[in-house]
Amino acid sequence: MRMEEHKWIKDILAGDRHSFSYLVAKYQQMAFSIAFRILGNREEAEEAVQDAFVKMYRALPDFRFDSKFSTWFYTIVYRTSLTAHRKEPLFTDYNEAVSLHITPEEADNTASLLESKDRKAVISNVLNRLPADESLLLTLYYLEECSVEEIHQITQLTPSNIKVKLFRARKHFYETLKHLMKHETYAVL
Amino acid sequence: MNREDNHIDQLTRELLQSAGEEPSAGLSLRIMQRIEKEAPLARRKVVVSADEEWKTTPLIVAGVVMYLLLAGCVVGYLFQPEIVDQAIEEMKDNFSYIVTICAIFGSLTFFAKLDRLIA
Repeated sequence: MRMEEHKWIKDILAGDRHSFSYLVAKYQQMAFSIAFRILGNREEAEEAVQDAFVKMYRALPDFRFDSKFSTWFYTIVYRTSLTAHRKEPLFTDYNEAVSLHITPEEADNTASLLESKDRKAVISNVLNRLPADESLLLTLYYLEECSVEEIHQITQLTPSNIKVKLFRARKHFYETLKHLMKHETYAVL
Repeated sequence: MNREDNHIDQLTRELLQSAGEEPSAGLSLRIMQRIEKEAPLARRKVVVSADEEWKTTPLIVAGVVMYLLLAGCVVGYLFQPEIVDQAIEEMKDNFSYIVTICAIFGSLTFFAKLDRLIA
């Protein structure tokens, strides 16, 4: 797969713009997820994704083939979205001393409340209710399956900071999910 | 990471796998339209300008002259040491200036080449 991707990039560098559509098809959804997690607005996220693809196209001659293309591109998406965000810092320090621990039983019970047909809508709703930094980290780690090292390259957060924030985000994710289930908010979904 | 954590991780991954946000259908088309408007890409090349090429010839000549002078000094010192001693004696007052100028030009040339190599 990586070889195929490198071939597309070489073709684009040789002047074949059609090959760029393969990169768009492969990465637009994840790029949109990252932008949407940061900006919280579909229109703004789509604008940011377009800008990020154009920036990536311009920077493609500088891409070093020894690194992972997805991580390099997600860094561009992340920075472009942050520039569009501007309002406040995305990552904030936590002051409250809350236990990060959740038991497997708690997680299982909460997850079992979900019916598969509603799952996508409910999970999206939960992610939308979480702070932007937490939903972004969950998206990168669990959905895109980025490693902590790759997230570090994208966000410039330290690996230990990423681990703590991921633990906290996961706890908040299950708390929010449980809260939604308890209050029968299916109607609003 | 312990077994409990692995289990929660796995469950979270399964839950989130279904939660990817879908962009609107026309997004890829809009991206490609913007890419079409972009100028063609050019690979970054190390271009040696005519000016730089012009500079290389005198540098080679200067290098050859320096080596000839050095070889002349060695040969002279071996066969007629008194003449070399006399020449060195005459140059003594200006020797520090000559060494300083040579060191400056040598460092400049070396670091300029190194900079180009790294770039």
